[in-house]
Amino acid sequence: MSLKSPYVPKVISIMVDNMRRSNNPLGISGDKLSLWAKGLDLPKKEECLLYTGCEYQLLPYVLTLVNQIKRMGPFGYEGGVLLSMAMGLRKLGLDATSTFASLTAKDEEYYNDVARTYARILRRHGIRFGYLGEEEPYSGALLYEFGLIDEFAEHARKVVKLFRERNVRKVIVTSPHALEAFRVLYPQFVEGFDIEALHFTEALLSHKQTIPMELKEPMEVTFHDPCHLARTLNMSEQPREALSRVKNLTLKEVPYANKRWTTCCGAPIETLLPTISESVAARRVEELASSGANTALTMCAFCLANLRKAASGGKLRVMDFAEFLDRSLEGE
Amino acid sequence: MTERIADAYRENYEEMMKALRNERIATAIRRATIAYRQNVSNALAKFPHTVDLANEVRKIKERSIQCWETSLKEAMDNIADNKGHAYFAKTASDARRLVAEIVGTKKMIVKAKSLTGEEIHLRQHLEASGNKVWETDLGELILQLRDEEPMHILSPAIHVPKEDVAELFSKAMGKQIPPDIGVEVAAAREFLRQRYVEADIGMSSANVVSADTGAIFIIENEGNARLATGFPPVHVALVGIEKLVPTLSDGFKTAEVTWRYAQYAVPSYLSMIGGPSKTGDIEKTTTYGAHGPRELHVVFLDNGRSEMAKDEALREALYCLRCGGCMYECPVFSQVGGKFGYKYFIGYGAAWIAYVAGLERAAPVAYTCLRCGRCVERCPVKIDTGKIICRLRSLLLRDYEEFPQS
Repeated sequence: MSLKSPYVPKVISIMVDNMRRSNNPLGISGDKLSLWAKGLDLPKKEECLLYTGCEYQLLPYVLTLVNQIKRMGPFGYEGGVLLSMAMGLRKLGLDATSTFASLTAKDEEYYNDVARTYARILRRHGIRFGYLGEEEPYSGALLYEFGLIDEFAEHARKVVKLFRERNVRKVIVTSPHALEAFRVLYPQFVEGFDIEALHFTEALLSHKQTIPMELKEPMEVTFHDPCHLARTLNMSEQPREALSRVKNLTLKEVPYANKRWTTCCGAPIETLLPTISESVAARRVEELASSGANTALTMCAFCLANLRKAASGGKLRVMDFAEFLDRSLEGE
Repeated sequence: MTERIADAYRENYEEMMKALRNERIATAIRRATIAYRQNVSNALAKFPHTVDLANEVRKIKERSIQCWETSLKEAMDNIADNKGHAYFAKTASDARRLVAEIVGTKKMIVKAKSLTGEEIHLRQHLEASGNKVWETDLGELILQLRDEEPMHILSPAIHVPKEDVAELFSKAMGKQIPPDIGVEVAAAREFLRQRYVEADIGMSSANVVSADTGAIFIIENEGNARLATGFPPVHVALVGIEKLVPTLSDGFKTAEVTWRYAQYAVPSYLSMIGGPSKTGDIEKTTTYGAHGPRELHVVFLDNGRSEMAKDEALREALYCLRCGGCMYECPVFSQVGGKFGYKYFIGYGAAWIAYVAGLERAAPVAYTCLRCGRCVERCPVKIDTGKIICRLRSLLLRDYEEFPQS
C-alpha cells in the first residue's frame, strides 16, 4: 500500500502508513486508545457493543500533529507540507514518537473523559453493552475519505470479521463517521453485512426506561449538527429529541444554518490546510453564537475539537453532547 | 512533473491565503449569501413546482450526457438548416483557432459573460491576434478593467465593493464617478453603448442548446447579452457540449430551473436564438440579415467533456446548470471565494478542472474540499460532490497515469 503518486500530500501518505502498521491513522497503540475505559469494568463479551471508532481518544494526538505541522519552520505552513513531498515529513521529525512526546496531558484527560461520559449515560439508562478495549478497531472512514477504496474495503472486512468472531450483533456508535461506515459503507463492501448499528441518541430514545434529567438552573444551548450526521445519515431530530427530555433546558437554533443546512466546522482539512480550517471554524463559532445561546453542543469528536479550539478565549462554550447530558444527570 | 505539481500546489495555496487575508472578500460574500438565500427562498416559494422540475431536469441531463454525440450531430444539422454555421472543437486550441478564423483581425468585439470563454482564455487570445474585445457584463467589465479572473460563476466581481468600482471607472472613463451603485451602472451603460454600435462581432456562450431545433438559450438580466448578440452583424457563440439537451421543451425546463436557483422568479431576459436574423416581408422571399446579425456561428466545445462523461462518478459534474447556488453554501468559498478553484470553483469544480486544466490544477482543489455536502443540499440537480471528490482522490493516488491529460 505504498503511495508513490506525486499528487498526494505527504500527510496523507503518513496516515496511510500508520493505518497499515497499527490500524489507525496516527499509529497509536490499542492500550493507549482504550485508556479512557479504565476503571469502568466494561465487559468485553456482549452482544451489544459501545463502538467509539477510537475518535475521541485519537483527538489529542491529532491536535499535536496539527500543531507540529504549523510549527515546522520554513516548512511550517500548509503549502510547505504539500510541497515537502520530496523530503518526506519523517525527515523533518514528524512521526508518531516525536509528535506524541509533546502530547498534552490536559487534552488527553479531557477527550478520554468525554468518551467516558457516553458509557456513563448508557449505564445510567440501564442499557447493557460491552467494549472491545484495546482490540477496538478504527472504522477506516479516513481511507474512504482519501479515496483509498480498496484499502477501505480490506479494512472493513477486517473490522467486520473481528466483530463476528466476538459474536457482536449490535453496536451503539458515538461517532457520525463511524456510523456512516457501519450504515452506508460496510454494507457496500462487506458481503452479508448484518451488524445492526444504532447512533447513541437512537439507543437512548429507543430505550423504554427514561431517567429524569434536570438542570438546576434554566439554561439555553444551541446544537451544532455534524455534517455527516445531519446530511448523510439524516439524523437531525434525534439529538433534539434527546435534549427535549432535559428539564430546564431551552434549545436555541442557529438561524438558517441548522439541521440539513448546518455549516461544516472545518475539521476535515485540519491536517492539510490548518489555517483555512481554523478560519472556517471561527466563522462557525460566530454562527453558533448568533443563536443567542452561550453554550453549543455537538456530537462528533472532530467537530468538538475544532470548534473548541476556535471558541477558546471567546464567549461561546463548546461542549460535547454526552458531556453535557452527563452533567445534567449529575444535577450540576 | 513533480515540480509542476508542487508549483500548482504552491500557487493555489498562496492565492487562497491572500484571499483569506482580504477581509473584503469574506464580507462581500457574507452579504451576497444572505441576499441569495432570501431571494432563492422567495423565488421557490412563489414557484414551488421548481423542486420537482429540478428532479426532472436531473434526469434530462443524465440522458443528454449519455447521448451527447447524437444530440451534437442533430444540433449541428439543424443550425445549418437554419442558415447558421456550426462547428465542433475537440480541444481548447481547436476552439481558439476556429473562433480566430471566424473573427479575423482588427475587429471590435462585444462579449457577453462566458465561463466557457474563460476556460479557453478566449478574450486574451482574440486580443493577442489584434482584436479589441469588450466585456459587457458589468461584473466581467470590472474584472477586465482590473485585469483579474472571476471569483464566482454568476457574480464574477462579487469581491469588489462600490468604492473600488468608483475608483476604477473614474480612471477608465476619464471622469469622476462617485461610489454610488446607480451612477456606476449608468456609467457602464453609457461607456458600452457606442461600443455595441461599432462592434463587428458579438460573442456569447449559451445556457442550453436544444438539439431538435438547434436553438440556443441565453438567460440574463442586464440586457447586455441581448445587445451583444443582437446588434452587431455577426454573432459567435461558444458552447460546451454538456449544454445540449434533446428537445426544445427540455431546453425550457432546464432554463427555468437554472434561473430559479440563480435566485430569480423570472429573469429579465431569455433569448432563444435559432438562426441569423431574417425577413420574408417582401414577396415572402426569405432574406437573411435583417435587423439582427446576418451571420450566426455556433462553436461546440468538447475539451475533455466527452472523457468526463465516461467516468461514472465524475460525469455528475457535467449536469451543472451554472446557477451558482452551491458556492454560497460552501464554507471554504465563504473564506477565499473563487480561489477555491481554478477557472471552475469549489469541490465539484475539481472534476472540471481535472479535464480542462489538468490533474495538477485539480489536486489542490480536491484536497481542499471538506466533503461537507452542503453544496449538494442546494444543488437543483443534486451533483454528488462527496462521490466526485472520493473518485478524484482515488484517481490522484492510483490511476493518474491513465488519466487523459489535455
